Amino acid sequence: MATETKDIQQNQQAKKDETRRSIRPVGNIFEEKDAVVLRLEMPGVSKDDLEINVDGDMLNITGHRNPYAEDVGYIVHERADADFRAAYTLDQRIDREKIEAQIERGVLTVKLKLKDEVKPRKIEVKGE
Amino acid sequence: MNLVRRNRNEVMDPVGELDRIRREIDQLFDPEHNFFSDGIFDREYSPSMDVVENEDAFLVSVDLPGVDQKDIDVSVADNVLTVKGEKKNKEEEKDKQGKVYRRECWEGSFQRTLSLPQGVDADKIDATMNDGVLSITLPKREDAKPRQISVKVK
Repeated sequence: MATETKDIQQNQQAKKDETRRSIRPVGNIFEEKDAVVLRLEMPGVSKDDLEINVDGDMLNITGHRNPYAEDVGYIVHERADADFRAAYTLDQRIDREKIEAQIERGVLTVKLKLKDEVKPRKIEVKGE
Repeated sequence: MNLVRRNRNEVMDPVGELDRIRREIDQLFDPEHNFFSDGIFDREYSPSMDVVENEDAFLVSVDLPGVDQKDIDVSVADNVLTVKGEKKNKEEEKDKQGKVYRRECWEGSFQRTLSLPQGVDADKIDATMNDGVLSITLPKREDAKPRQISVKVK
């Protein structure tokens, strides 16, 4: 009985997660010397609320925001009651093994390092 | 409580836009109107906020991603709460060398004002910054809290 209730609760939670609205975070994407940098604004998301994974050519980023309890009395409600979700396709230049992410003050910075072979390289000319 | 909503894509909604203009003109002729609290002096950008009421306090949350604590100024004057400051994006973007694919983050100064409801204890207002969200707690004065008086029935 107890496990059944737990299952139901878990199902309900899963359903809630599924139906929870998600929005695309606002961000800047630019290229640095050896990396493509994503800077995404995710206010209210801490390090533990973040999920970043690479699935083949897809980079998936999810930031969970803790909502207020449902019965809370809003006087003003402008902030989206939603999770942040973004998905990007990685092209062949990006080294999937070298992805760094950092979140600071609600701004997520993801550095997608370029593969060594596409970096501009200077070839030394040797004299005789 | 008098509040101004953030301008969303109002241009996309001509009827809503007309309604807004009418409201603003009405306000001009309203002698009761306090222009300091309705955002007429607000700067270009107004960050979005939530205001929630519970038994003991009003809780205000303002989305300010990437804003440094020292760049935020929270003040109360004449029963009007003002949050203002400046949002600066990280330096690295200024001397960027490569291509820019997308540029959506805003930069610059912002201001939001909120006229406080009756019964807020202005001396005990507390503000903290956490994960890019500014949380302001406006505690209610003791005499403004709802009280339950139990009546004993003999």
